[in-house]
This record gives sequence, C-alpha cells and structure tokens, in this order.
Amino acid sequence: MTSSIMTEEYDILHVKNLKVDFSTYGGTVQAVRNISFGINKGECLALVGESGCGKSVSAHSILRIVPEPPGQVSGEILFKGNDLTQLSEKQMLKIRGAEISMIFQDPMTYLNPTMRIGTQVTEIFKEHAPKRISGTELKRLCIDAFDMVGITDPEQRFRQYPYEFSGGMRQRALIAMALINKPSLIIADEPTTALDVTIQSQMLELMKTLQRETKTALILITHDLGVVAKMAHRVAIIYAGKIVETAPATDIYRNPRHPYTIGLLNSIPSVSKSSKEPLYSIKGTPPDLFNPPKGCGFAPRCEFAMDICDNYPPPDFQIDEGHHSACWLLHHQAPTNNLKTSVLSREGINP
Amino acid sequence: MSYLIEARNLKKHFTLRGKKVLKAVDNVDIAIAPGETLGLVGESGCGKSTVGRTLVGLYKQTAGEIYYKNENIQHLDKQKNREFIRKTQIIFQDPYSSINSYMTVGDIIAEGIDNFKLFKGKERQERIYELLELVGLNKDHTTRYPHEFSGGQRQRIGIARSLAVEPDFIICDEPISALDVSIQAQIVNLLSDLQKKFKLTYLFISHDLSMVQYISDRVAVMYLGKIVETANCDSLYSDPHHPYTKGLLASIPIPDPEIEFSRSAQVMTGEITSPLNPPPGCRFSTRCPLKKQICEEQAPPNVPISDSHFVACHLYT
Repeated sequence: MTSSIMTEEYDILHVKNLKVDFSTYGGTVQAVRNISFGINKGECLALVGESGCGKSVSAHSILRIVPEPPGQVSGEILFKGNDLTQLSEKQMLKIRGAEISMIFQDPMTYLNPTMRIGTQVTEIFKEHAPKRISGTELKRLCIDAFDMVGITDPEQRFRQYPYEFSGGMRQRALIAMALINKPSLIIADEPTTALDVTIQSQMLELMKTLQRETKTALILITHDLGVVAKMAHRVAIIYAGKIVETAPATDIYRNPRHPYTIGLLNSIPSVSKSSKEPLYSIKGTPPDLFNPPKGCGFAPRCEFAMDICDNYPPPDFQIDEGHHSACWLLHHQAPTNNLKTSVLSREGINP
Repeated sequence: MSYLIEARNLKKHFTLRGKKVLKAVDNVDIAIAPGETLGLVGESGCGKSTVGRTLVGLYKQTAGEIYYKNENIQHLDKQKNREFIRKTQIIFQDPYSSINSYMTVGDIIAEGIDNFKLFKGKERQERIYELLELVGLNKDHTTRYPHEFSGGQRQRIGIARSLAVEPDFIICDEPISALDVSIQAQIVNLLSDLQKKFKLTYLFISHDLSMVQYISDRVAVMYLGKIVETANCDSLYSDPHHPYTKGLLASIPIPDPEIEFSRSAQVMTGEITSPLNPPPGCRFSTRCPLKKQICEEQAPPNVPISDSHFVACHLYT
C-alpha cells in the first residue's frame, strides 16, 4: 500500500522517504525511519513528538546540517522541485539563511556573545546579497527588521551585545535574523520551549502575524500541543522515528485516530475541568532506536495492540482528505475496538 | 488554624558583587495545612524556587519567621532540627543532575535511611525494595546506576529517595518540567497516589498552570518576589482577580485549535523586570494594562476577596 502523501503535490517542500541513521560505538541509531511530509506556501506544519523521536533530526536534514559521518541521510528532499540532497555544499550555502532559515530552541546559546546583535543580524543579509552593501544601508535594514519583530529602541539595540538582551528579546533578534532575507521556508525548532508563558505567547503571536503577512511556509517543531493548536494548519505526529498520524490541525484534536495521538491528548490536564480523577497516562517509555521494534513502534505501549502490530509495521491508512494514520486498527479486518470512545471529550475555556 | 508549615514576612535577599542586593523573595506569607497541596506558579526568576528552598532551611532567610508545626525553626534544638530536616524533603527539577551518577540506585535511596539510622541490614534492604515498588520500579534496579534509566525513571528514583525518610512535607520543585509529555502524566499520578497513601503535604512549584491546577488544592501566584494572588484552585482559575494572573492564564495556549482560533489575541506586553531594580509601588506596574497612579507609588495591600481568596492589587482596595 503506497501512501498518498507520496503522490500529493506540495509547492514549497516535499520530503520523501527520509531516513537518518547515526553510527555510534554502541551501534546504529535509526533516528528517522522513513518519513515523508510536505508543506505549501503560507502553511504552518507542526512536527510533534517526544524527545528523541526524530523530529529535530528530520528538520536538520532538510538544511543538510546533520553531521555526516556519523549521520547517514537518505531519501529525497524536494525544495521547490530541486532535490537538496543532490546539491553541493557550495550550493547549499546559498540556500541556508536565504531560501530556508531556521530558528533554534535556545536563544541564549545560539547568538555569538562576542558580536554585536546588529552585526549578527545583518551578517546573514550581507552574505547572501549579490553586491556589496554599505554599512548605513545594512543598519537601516536591521532597524526595519527590529521594528518588525517588536524590538524597541532599535537604534540603541543595534549596537548592543547579546548579554544586554533578555531571553524574549534574543528570541526576537533570532526571528529578525530568520526573516531578514525573506525566505520561503522557516524551520522553527522548539522556538518557545526556553521561554516563559507570557513571553511564549508574545512570540507565537508575533510569528503568526509575520507568517500571515509574508506568506512564508513554517515548519514548527514542538512537543506542546497547546502551541500546535495556536499555530498549525497541519500536524504530523512522530513516534519512534516515524510519522504515525498526519492531519489538518482540527482533525488531530477532534478526530484523532492513532492510539498514540489519543494518549497524548488525553494526558494533558484541561484547564477548564477541575476533576481530580487520575490523569490518563501512556504506560511505559519510548523504544530504544538502536533496536526499534519490528512492527509498529508504539505497539509495546499500546493498549489496543494486536498480534500483527508486533510483527509487521502498519501501512498508512487514509481516513479523510489529508488525514492519514499508520495503525493496524484502521484495517478493515481489524476487530472492533473502543478506541474511538476512549477519546475523552476535551474542552477548554476562554479565561 | 494550625498549619504544617507557615512563613511570615519571609525575605530572602542575595548580596551580589558591587553590594547590589537581589530581593529574590520579599515579604512573602505562605501557609500550608497538613495534607494540602499548595501550587506556586510564576515566571522564571520570580523567586518561587527560593521560597521552597528557604522554607526547608536550605537557604537561611534574611528576615521573617518560619514555623513548622507551630514551632519557629530558628529556635529548634539539635534533635528537633534533625527531625525537621528529615520531615521536609525536596524533589528536584532535573532528574539528571540531582542524583549522583556514581552511586547505585539502592545507595541513593538509602542515603537518607543511613544518615538518620532508620533501618539496618536486612530491614534496610527490604525498605529499599518497598520504596522502589512504591514508585513503580522493581527490585532488580537496586544495583543499577542512574545512567541506565530514562528521565522519567530517574525522577521516580528521586521520589523514592525523598520518601525514604518518611517525610510529611515535600517540596516538588518543577518535578515534571524536564520530562516528556507522556511521562509527565505518569509522575503527576504517582505524586497524587503517594499523597493519598502517606498523607503528604506538597508545595508544588511549577510554571505549567494546567498541571498545577490538576494537582493543587490552593494556588499562589508569584511575581518578582511577591505573592500577588492566593486562592482555592477553582476560584483562581475561574475567577482570577489580579491583572497578572489574568494575563498568565490568557497566555497558556489551549490544546484545541477552534478555541485558539476564536480566542482574542491577548498578549501581555513587556517582560519580567529585573529583581535587582524592582519598580517602587506595585511590582507589576511596569506591565500592568490597568495601572493607576497609586500603583507606581505604593505597594498594594493584600485584599481579601473571599475567605480564602486574596489579591495584592490596588484595583480592589
């Protein structure tokens, strides 16, 4: 059964059959095990999963910043029709930071502490500019970018060093850096995990507005389903190096079909309900990717696992337009189960 | 009313280089009844961990009194002080750095037992097995080392260690924030089971407001070294009074796209001010959308909204 994710058309990025292995002394870690996804202009795709599930590695391999060796990347990464895996390092340099840019998790470590913020932000522009640009022109550009991301006092901020910026301001500077070349794809790797909730909500609001204005495609990597609900148009849930479910955002929350997705949703306490019943929790721990399970990666923790789940990896089943899930329970011969009824009704409040 | 642990006018100031004073905790009143869970929430740097550490005597307070079972802990004799140390335990945030990686799990758990000479020999061994089982690990894990365990399992070891000395008050200092989503629920369930079983009292420090709501009976919201609002859990979440609490609740993204879509984008502007240089008057006045002139001049008093709901804000005076 071929998944129709393979045949669907995406105009910005289409990743097909991506596999990433890392050779280590302890053996080979299969970090990403055959992942396919795509993204269109102006869309926000969220890659959701726990630590070590391969979500960051998939994103890093798009930019070809996975160290090789020890990494081994295979598969196709079509960016606007060109396969990035076939490009030379020199050609990649033209793409990184210009066509595709990245926002990293930790704004504290990502900036160079010995360089002025202004220099760091404009450096990216200078590198990719076709001709030499004057210093005053660069400064004007940087100040425009600072204005766009809401950094106050841009004139003064331009000359400051990272230590003079707070966490939120540094993250704003990183967003300014990511946007300055007007890329067509931004990859944000846990952009708000290191921030406080009030700052997180400022950043998300900012990213959402900017994304709408610039029609940039955004790949958002996160483990926070609240952030996903706020930002994403489409969601791909990753578990043990594979995409287990992909769907438009509303379908993931309203009609989840993979037991892992359901488990994740049920384990978040809802702010509206004040019941003191035990929280739903997924038993066990994620599998060891040195030696991933033969069948479905989630089978050892799944309440509904059948014999087939342990032995054969499930194919992708289409549930709806754009909604796929890799679970044997969706096979027409699967016994009836109470999977759907286990989706607790989830409601929120508007405080 | 008798509280298990109570702090009055608690202050903890740190003196930094250049004689600058960082007022991490400034005039905090906190009281926790036996068997209760008090949630303490706030942004990073607001002093919530400092409150926890000062309460159990890890930091010595700059001013104010701490009472444990109605006795001032500064005036305890040596024996009672050891008893106080034994009865108050902490579960730390980071399960990687808070346990010694050179010790076996059994030795980690038994360290408190040995220190207080609670059990010896075979009994000690039995106690370790019992504790491991209690937190969802098994006997075979006794001789293993921490690196063989995942984050969630290490947190379970940390919990077993704190339970080993039969405490009655446990400070959970962000016990789940370093863990994965699917593991967080496991640990929170474990903590509430243990609370029921041993009638434990918790101070649950976290920035995850939905988990705090789930586990707490009462919640205190901290901002820049001061508690701005205290209330019963239901009352705080359904009827927040302080502008900061309102902003904080509005900032949590709700895991439902339809609600998120319809929700107006209320963004709290600005960032937490440096505690080295707090504004005079209300600490929140620099970010408050409803600021009045008095807020910049006078610190707000603690205003009762109901018997158990207090808010420190000039809007309600």
